[in-house]
Order: sequence, then C-alpha cells, then structure tokens
Amino acid sequence: MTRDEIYNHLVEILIGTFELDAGDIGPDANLFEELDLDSIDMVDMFVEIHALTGKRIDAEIAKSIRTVGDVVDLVERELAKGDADGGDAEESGEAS
Amino acid sequence: MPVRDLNVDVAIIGGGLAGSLLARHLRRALPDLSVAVFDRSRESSFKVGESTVEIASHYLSRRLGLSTYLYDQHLPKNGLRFFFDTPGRDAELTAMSELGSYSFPPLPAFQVDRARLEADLWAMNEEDGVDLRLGVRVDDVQIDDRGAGKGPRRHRFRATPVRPADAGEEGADDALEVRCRWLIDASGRASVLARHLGLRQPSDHGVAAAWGRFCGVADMDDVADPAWNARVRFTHRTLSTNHFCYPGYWIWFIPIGRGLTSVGVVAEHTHFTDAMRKPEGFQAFLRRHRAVASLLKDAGLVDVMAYGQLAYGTKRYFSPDGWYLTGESAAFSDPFYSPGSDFIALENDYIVDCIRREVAGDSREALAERVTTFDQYMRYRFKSTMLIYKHLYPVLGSYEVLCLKWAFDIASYYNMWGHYYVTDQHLDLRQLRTELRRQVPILEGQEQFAALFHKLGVELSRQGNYYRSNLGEFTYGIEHIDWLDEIFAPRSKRRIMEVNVSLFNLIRERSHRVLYGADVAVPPLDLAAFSDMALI
Repeated sequence: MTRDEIYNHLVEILIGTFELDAGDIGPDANLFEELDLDSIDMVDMFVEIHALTGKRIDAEIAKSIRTVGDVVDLVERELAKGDADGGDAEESGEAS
Repeated sequence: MPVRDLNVDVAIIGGGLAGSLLARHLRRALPDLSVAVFDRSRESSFKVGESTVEIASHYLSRRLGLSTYLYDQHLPKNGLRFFFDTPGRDAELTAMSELGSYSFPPLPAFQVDRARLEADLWAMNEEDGVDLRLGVRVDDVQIDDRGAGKGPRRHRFRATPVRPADAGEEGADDALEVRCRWLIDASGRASVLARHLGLRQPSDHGVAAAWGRFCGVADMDDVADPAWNARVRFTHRTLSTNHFCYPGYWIWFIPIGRGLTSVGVVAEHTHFTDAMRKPEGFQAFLRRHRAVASLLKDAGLVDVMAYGQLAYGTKRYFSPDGWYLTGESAAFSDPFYSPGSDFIALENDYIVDCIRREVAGDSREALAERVTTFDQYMRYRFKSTMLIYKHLYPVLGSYEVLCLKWAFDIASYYNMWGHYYVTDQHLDLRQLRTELRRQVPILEGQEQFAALFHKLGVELSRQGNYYRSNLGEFTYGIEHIDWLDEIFAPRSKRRIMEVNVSLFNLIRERSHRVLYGADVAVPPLDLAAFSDMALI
C-alpha cells in the first residue's frame, strides 16, 4: 500500500466513521484539537486501521500520535515491518 | 351500537401529559394537520410525576410556549434536595445531613399539579382545534404496514364510549371507526399499541411505589431555626423535590400548589408491603420516620395510589410505518431524578420532526433512516438512564455515597444530556450517529461507575461507617462544577469531553479517599480507560 493510499483510506475512515467534513482534514490536522477526536474515538480508529491493514497498533505508540500525518507514518512503518499479525488481515495484500 | 367514521391525520391514544403535549406541539408546528386525542377518562385525575427537570422544562417553555402559564399556575422548582437519617430513623429534620441547593438552578424547572395541568391542556388544545374525545375506550387496532406504493397509509382502530354520555348530544353514543395516517400511543401504562404489537419488555429493576396527596403538610420554610435556614442562604426548601433517603427506599415531598403536597415512597420490592398500598398502611409507614412524621403532624391524606413494578422497557419506540410511542406507553425507569417528562420531551420532538419531514415529502429511504436512528437513540437513552439507577437503592441512605453519586449524575446531566437537548443536537442525525457509535464504551463506563458506588456502600457498611456522616452535614453538591458558567452555553465536543474526563477522575479519586484516606495515589485515567476497568 502506498503512502497516498494509506492517507486516502484514513480520510475515508475519518469521513465515514467519524462524520468529519472533508475540508477540515489534511495531513497536518491535529486529531484532538482540530478534529475533536478523543480517546474513545482513537480506539475506534485503530479498530478500523486493523481491519484495513491487519496490523494491531501498540497502545503506547498510539499515544504519541497527534496529527493525521502521524497516523499515516505509523501505518506505513507497521506495514513495512512485514506480514500482518494473527492471519486475520483480509485486505492487507490489496496494494502489494 | 351505530358506528361512524372519523378520518384524521394524527390520532393520539391517550390525553395524559405525553399525548396532550404532543397534540399542542403538533398544532403549533404543523397547523395544517388534523389532530384527534382519545382518552378513557372524562376528567383529569391525580397522577404521579409532578417534578420536571431541565430538559422537560425547556420543552414546555421554549417548544410549547407554556412559560408564563407554568409560572402563573404551577410552582417554580428549587432543584432536588436529599435528607439523611440514623439507622433508627429518629433524626429531627434540622439534625439531618442535607444535600441540596442554596439558590435556584441555572435553568428553571417546575413542580406541576398533573391533574390541573392536564385539564388546562385539554382546554387549550380544544381551543386550538384539537378534536378531543373523552370517555372512549380504544381497541381493535390495525396497523397499516403495507409500505410504499400501496396507496395512502391508513391505520385503523375502534373508539367506543366507556359509558353512555348525558343525554342531549346527538350521536354522542356512537362508536367511531377511526382512520389515521399517523398513530401515536400515549396511553400511559395501558400501552394500548405497545401491548398490541408485543413491544413491552420487563425490567429487572425491582422497585414499587405508593403515593398520595396530603393537605396541611408543614412548611419547611417555617422552621424557626436560624442556623438551619442560614446554611441554605435562606433559599426555599419547600419548593425543592425533597427526598428522605434510606437504604433500599426513599420518600418524596413535592408541593403542587393550592395547599396540596404530593408525598410518596419508592422502594425495592423487599422494602415494600401490600399494606403500603392502603391509606392506613401508607401513613403508618411514613410516620415511622421522625422527620417525615413531623412534616405530616397536622396533614390529612386526600388520596393514595400504588404501582407494584415501576420499570419496564420497549423493543421499539418509533416505526417508519407511521406509528410512534411516547411517554409511559413506551417505557419507564425510576422517578428518583424525575426523568419521565424528559423522555416525553425527546419522544415528542422526534415524532413531530418525523411527521414534519414526511409531510414535506422526504424520501421514504431518508425518512426510514431518520426514524430508525431516533428509535435506536431512544433505546440507548433508556439503557443509559436505567444504569443511573443500577445499584442505587442499597447506597442511597448514605450521605457520603450519595454526595459522590449525585455529583457524578448532575454534572453528567448538565455537561452532556441537558446540553445536547437545549442546543438541539438531539435532532441532528450526524450527532446521533456519533453518539450511537460510542454507546458501548459509554454504557460500559456507566456500569463501572455503578459498580464503584455500589462497592463504596458495601465497604462503608462493612466498616460500620455507612451512616457516619448522616447528621449535621450540608453541601450543594455542585462545588466541584468549576464550569458552572459554561452550563448550556455553546461548547465544543472537545470541551465537553475534557469536562467528562476531569469529572470522572475527580469522582474516582474522591471515592478512593472515602475508603482509603488521603494517602493513596490515584493517577488520572484517559476517557477510554473508564469503560475498561474496575474503578476502585
């Protein structure tokens, strides 16, 4: 999955699940201060990211995230590490 | 018996508070629609549910234009007030610890005389063109669920006079074959449509209630104790919904004007006896509590009523087929915080919004999505409300525990539910979908707090400390709300969640202090953690 694809998927999640306005979302948008997400939303977001990539994001690493771009970086790094965990990665091979 | 046809746009079964308010709401919002109300009674009667809280008062004042009527004909409410007693139930009123206001709350609320309010609404509604049919029994209900493309929707039912009306009015004895496009069940506990459709759901919240109207109840504001009056800054305690709190039950005093006071008891089934349903047994029970007895010293009982099981739910509130439930025809939780008329406010707003959109020609799909979302949201709100009362009864006789629970409940109400309502976010589908998406962690968090308060009560009992602060204390209970100025002001979702996190951490920390003293460290949690773990 390319970086652009990751970003586009993330935007789809933010619009589809969190009902945010597309115009508010950009790589530098702060998830908490600008997009008004909170820790309950972050749990939901990582469930969505897991469905997309097959990757479970470590809770401690997730705490360092601030912007949309941070999430893209994190997913990109996780995907680069290799195979998805647990064998329940339905869509992880889609872009490779 | 001859049968006549009656065709109407909206038929409302039940002319109690829910149905009469909805009829008024519809006439104001959609004056082109014809509205008929059918009620078994011929005259309005004594009913429980006299206290409104902020959501309901907002609905009555701002949606229905009843503000001056309420101030003119009913009583302004001075918040909720709780008194605590000894194990022997022998504390004098002025010795009891007290949790309650020292000034009127930020938004008005009212103590209403239900019989008078409903009679007045009947008169106002008839003047506004509502077809009011009193003294009729509704049966033979047939829901038209044929769906789209089968011609105009026509629900049907039979309305039969309960007993012959006085002579002179031609046709007064005829039964009516009623056809309507929208059918509303506002029939209260009779739940005419809800039972017909098999929607009623039992609840395991096992509490019963008995209540009566008294005349000549002593006026708390007449008590000649300067220090006791000074500690509430001379605010009027009599105008509060006054609760006398005991493990397993509570007793209410609510003034309803014209010299009458509503007095009742709500008790877990283990604390409720059949004798309490009768005037003698009810009064004997009340008088076993010294402070309560002192207020009733010269009082006379006017009438008494009882319900053996207060709480029940519904599988569904609203249907895209054009039928809706409102008020107690759908569900009831517990009167402790007077939520009944708040539910009416929400339900009636949803019903009027759906009918308005159907009239305006919204697509069937868009309408179905809206009705379904509103319905899911009502079921979520009911579950959430039931969790407020989970494990409440064993702990409510302890001043220390109830102070913490009250702080949590009143702040949550102002910060979220009240705020969402007065800013109309409850009508915004996007907001509702967001709330529904988050319902699992929110309900789990409520479960954790119910367990926290329960554990506090159990541990204090085990230590012999359940009653230790029940005499001589006083608090308003909102001292921890350092965002008082923000209540009902426009605020971002982020700010609301910040307040939640700080409130949840504060209550958790104070609970630890009650049990373990000041030395124990209670590091703060983030929001998501409150639904995941035991809090104490």
